[in-house]
Amino acid sequence: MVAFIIRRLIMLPVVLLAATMLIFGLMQFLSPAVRVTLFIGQNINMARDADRLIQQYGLDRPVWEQWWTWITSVFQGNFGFSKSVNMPVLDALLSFLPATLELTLFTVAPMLLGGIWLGVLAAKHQDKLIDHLARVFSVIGWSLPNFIFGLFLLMFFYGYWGWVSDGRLSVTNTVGLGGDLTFIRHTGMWTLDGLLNGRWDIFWDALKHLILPSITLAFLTMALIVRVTRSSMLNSLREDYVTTARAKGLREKDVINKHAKRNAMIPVATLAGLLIAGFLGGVIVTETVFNFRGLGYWFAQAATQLDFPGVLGFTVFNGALIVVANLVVDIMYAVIDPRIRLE
Amino acid sequence: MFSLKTLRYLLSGLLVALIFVPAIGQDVNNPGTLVVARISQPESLDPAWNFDTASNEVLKHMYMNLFEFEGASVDSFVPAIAVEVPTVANGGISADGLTYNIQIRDGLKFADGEDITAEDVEYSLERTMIIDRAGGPAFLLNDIMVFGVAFSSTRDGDGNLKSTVDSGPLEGTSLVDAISNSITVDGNTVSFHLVQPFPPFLQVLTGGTGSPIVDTEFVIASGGWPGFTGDAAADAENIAAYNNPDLGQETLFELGGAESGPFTLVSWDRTTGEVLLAANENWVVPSSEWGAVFGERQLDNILFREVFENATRELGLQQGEIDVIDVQPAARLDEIKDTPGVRIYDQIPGLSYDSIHFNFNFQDSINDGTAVGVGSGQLDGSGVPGDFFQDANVRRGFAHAFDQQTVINDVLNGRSTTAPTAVHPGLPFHDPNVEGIRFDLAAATESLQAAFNGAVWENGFTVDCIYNDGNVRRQVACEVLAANLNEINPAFVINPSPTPFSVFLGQIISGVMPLYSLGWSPDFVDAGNFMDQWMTTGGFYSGFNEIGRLTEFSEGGVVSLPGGGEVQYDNWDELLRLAFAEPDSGNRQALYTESQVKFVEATVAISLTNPTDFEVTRDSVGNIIRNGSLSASLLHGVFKEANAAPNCAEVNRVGGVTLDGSC
Amino acid sequence: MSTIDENLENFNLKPRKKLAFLPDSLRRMLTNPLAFIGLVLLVIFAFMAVAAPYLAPPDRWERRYIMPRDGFSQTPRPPNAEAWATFPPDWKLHPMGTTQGQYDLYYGLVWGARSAWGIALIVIALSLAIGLMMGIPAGFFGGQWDNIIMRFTDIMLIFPFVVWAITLFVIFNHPVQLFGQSIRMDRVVAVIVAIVTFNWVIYARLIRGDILSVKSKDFIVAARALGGSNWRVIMRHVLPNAIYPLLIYASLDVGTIVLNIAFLSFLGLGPPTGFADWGQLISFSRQYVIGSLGQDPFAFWYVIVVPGAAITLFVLAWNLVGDGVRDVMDPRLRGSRAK
Repeated sequence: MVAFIIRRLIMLPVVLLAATMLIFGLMQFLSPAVRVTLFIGQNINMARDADRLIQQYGLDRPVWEQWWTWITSVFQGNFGFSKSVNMPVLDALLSFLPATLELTLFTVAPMLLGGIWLGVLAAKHQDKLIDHLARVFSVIGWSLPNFIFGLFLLMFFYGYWGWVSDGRLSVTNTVGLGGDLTFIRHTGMWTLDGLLNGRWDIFWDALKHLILPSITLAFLTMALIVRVTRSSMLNSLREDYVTTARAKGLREKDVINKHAKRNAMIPVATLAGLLIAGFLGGVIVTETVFNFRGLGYWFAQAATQLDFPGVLGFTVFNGALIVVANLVVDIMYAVIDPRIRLE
Repeated sequence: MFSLKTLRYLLSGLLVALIFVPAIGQDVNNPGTLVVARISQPESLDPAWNFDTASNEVLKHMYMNLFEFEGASVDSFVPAIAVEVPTVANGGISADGLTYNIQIRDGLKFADGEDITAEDVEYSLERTMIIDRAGGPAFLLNDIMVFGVAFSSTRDGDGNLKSTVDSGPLEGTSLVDAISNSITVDGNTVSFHLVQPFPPFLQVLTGGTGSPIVDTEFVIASGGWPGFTGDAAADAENIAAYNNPDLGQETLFELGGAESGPFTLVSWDRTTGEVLLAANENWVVPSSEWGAVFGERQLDNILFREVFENATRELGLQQGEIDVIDVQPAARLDEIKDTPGVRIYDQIPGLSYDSIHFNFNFQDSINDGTAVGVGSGQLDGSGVPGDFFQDANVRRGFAHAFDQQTVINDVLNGRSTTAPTAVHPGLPFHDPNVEGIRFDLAAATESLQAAFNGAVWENGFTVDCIYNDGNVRRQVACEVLAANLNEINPAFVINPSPTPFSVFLGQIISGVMPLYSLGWSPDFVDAGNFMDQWMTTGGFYSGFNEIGRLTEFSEGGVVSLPGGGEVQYDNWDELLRLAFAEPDSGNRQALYTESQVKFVEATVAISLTNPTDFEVTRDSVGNIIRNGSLSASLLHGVFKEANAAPNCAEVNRVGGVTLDGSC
Repeated sequence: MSTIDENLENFNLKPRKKLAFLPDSLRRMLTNPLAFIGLVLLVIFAFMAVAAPYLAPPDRWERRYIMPRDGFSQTPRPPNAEAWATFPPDWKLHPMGTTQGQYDLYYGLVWGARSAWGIALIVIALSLAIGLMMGIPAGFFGGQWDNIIMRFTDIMLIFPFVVWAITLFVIFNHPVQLFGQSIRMDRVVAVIVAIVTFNWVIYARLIRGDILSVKSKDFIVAARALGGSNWRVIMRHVLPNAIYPLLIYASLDVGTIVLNIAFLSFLGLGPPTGFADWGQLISFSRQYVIGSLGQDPFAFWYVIVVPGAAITLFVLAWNLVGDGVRDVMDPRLRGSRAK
């Protein structure tokens, strides 16, 4: 298994390099003049400098030369400057990551709890009304464009009831922490930093701001969990040991909780792992609507403005994340199910 | 593993928590802190870099200029760091309009406690001039004090720094000498030496982009440009080192601590898009004139936030967590004007202007195949030839077929003037007696029947009306034009065609589009800054559209001046150059009136909109002053209290209103 | 036990047999109430798509996919009951109201159904064509081609779909240099390109895997031993037995494609303004979800409900049908033994 892991990790940089080449290749569809006007954005006065900028950034040189320039500077730790957010790419990654990480962590709980609960419920009452309702409910979450759900939540909890605001902290705390040098931002995640600094008010405020976005995101992704839980639960309810347990006269509740559910969780766990690496689209919308600035927001800005260094940096980061997530899932499989051997 | 029971408890607990929501009704959230939510955050907080509205609004509160706009006014000033506003009468401006002598006020301090001196003023402006980042504000100063041409650059076409001045009266002088001699200091007086008369010079010193006053010692200590040393070689090297930095490399990009203005930078988090300012303890109201307009500073903090989603900003305003917001699109104002606790400042003269542009010669691009939206490129009904818009009858016919009022009423809910020309009603030297081309389909028919000796009417044409993707009013403008022309002759086909802004800009510069819609926002508030872009060969649009091809361009004429005498001009370039450099405002008016008459007579472009400006706040925000020139609000004297009174004097000064009826 | 059954079945499997198997599964699906509802919804949407020219006759046939505007005002107008006096209702009276920019919602709903089906089917057909062309040789012949294709798909799969789709769309929304020519794509074409260039990878991998599993089956080995040409073996024996899982997977993609286009619209990308597309209609509602601020939260409900319901029901229908198909295909889930 160690050999397997090592082999996969060696493949990682190769795949990532190839992916960046692919993006460079795609960019060649655009003429240097178009790429430079993309860089200029809305600044009409800068347009006069277009030819100078093409020279300055070498946009008219051959693609492999541009790629080589880029890759050598990457190995010197310089991923370039992401113009869409006015930050070096590496800074952007590091400063946008905590928000998304925090949002993801807090989404996993409602997503899994809600999804598994509904899935088990549906399986238990297969083809009954409850089953149908649970499935329809979860699919609606998935198919309703989630900015509508997000804005609805925000309208009531923010606009009408004033229970929470947009962003990651209330204005009072933003202003309060603005010049406060005693508050150390260890992780960039406000909930954790609040705890680490012993500031319960910050922790609570940050938590409050996480609830609505994580519900929105969970509602979106829950459908897949419900679906997988339901079908694997149905599978395991049919296993011989479950029948045996029933035959032994165990209570139905114990049969489900102690026997059936445990085994049904294996595919759910792997799916959850993949989902977390993959629910980017939902993250983009949720972060935009709740003004909860994270990687999704950055990526949407970078991609829609074709902020080239930003897109490349994000691709490398996200690609690595996906490859590692896949690896972890494979390993988890092998650990959970001894019949699987990694080769 | 959890049990269902625990989950049930958790869920019901959550529900209870949600239902027992705290009641709102608190009148003033966060007293002492003003929260401003905008659609974008600053690009840079270095005044020498800043050339966007969002940066400018923040910097207006971090730094003072020599002067400040007199409240909502766009063309009168109050002294800030200067002792008084210079005029020819008080000797501040020389009779030839070439020298401005400005005395600096004693006793003002930067946020770090250092005195604000005349040397700081010289350093600040010269720093902007030598940094001259691509697309930045430096040309405003360099044009008139160094190069003597519009939109000048310190770099040549290949991007290399020029060593000598290559145009204007200073041609041949070394760049170091030209810049260092352009501003001189004598005691506490700063003198600005212009290479040509430039009546709107005070606009440039006031507007904010490139001209705020920074602390010399602080900037140098932070690694900034060391200033002129007197050693020509070293100075030239320094200029080269600091010229055109990449974004993020400029010294004051995110650095505060020695501001000259009422607020000082606490933090700028580009991740969340939040700029936090706190009151600058070393700042005092600089002049009695300032005090009379803005009053005392009352806020402890200002928090500028970037909130991208329109609905989210509105919800923040509804709740009261946010005090001032951007609203888009303007039509949305009519849905939120009755929202409790919201106050809208409306009908403030705006300064941007849109038109539909004609390209007078795109034959070259038809020939080399780069033309966009010209169809067959011939007058055969399925295209337009390269000289299509050189025929005045075509332009006039198009203009008569365009219904400006529909665009204004439907897209902007009436929030725009019906500007007849590029010198729109928000600008000085707008002549209300000049009538624009009216919407008149009969007249349009007549003109188009005469065009190209009837060939246009007989064959018809097909042409794209190109606009930047996502801009609703330009889209509708193209659609209205298309519908009306198609109505008078079914052979007239106009295809509204959206294009991403980046592509659009490139296509304007290469002159490949026959018909497109775009606008202009002022670099400084002056008729010339607009008219030049539409009517001169060096203007932004008219240059790329080859206005020189029009026979009307070089017809010439004579203007009689109210001050006596008359001037003769050979072409529009000359007319507008004369108008721009004319120091006497009566004579200037006569010359600009002439240009407006010519604009309409020759139908240089189809006038579209001059949207009025507005601001949306909570009614707990008092004394906010919206300035149309900045497209931003001046918050120097803002206070927060329940149902705060607005500053009606400033609202009414420019003919604005508040929609809650308080002004 | 079941393994043996399957092998036997496969061994005897002929294309005709496979088709004969469909009506039975269809019958079983119809007895499942949710799958039935899903099918009914799909039939309704299909009817809307096919009958669009009757339900909402366009003024100019060549501009049928461009929603006509009634004025240019930004503020939506509520549904008009009078329009329902006839059937089909007169869209010029706005039976479901208008949305931002005075685009008629009913017209957008009807023609949006047509464009949703149309774009999705084009995307799937193109992705299938490319996926099969790349995946069949990879699965059947293996070797170098298989290696190249698999390594390429490895690279593609590290892009999350949204990253790929947005980047590709933005690139192809600009004039692109192809063979020395500058070409400007229609935005709808750019959407299709953005999705197809990603989807074919998944299809290629699926068909490759299925072919691999079919290839070693005895009847294929037998067919090859009998001297059938590769082409003939692929077309007559391999493909018919390997393609069904892919076809089902692909057909269930329709809902996802519509959702993805809506996502692009949210970012201001996707089909051009005014194109009859549910995703665009729903992104028009973005300003109006919050109603008239602080006064009536549901003031503009129709702007959200009409396109929102269309997309949700459409995707829901595909999901329900998809679940139904899976239940039928996976005999282990058949019937209720849970209680």
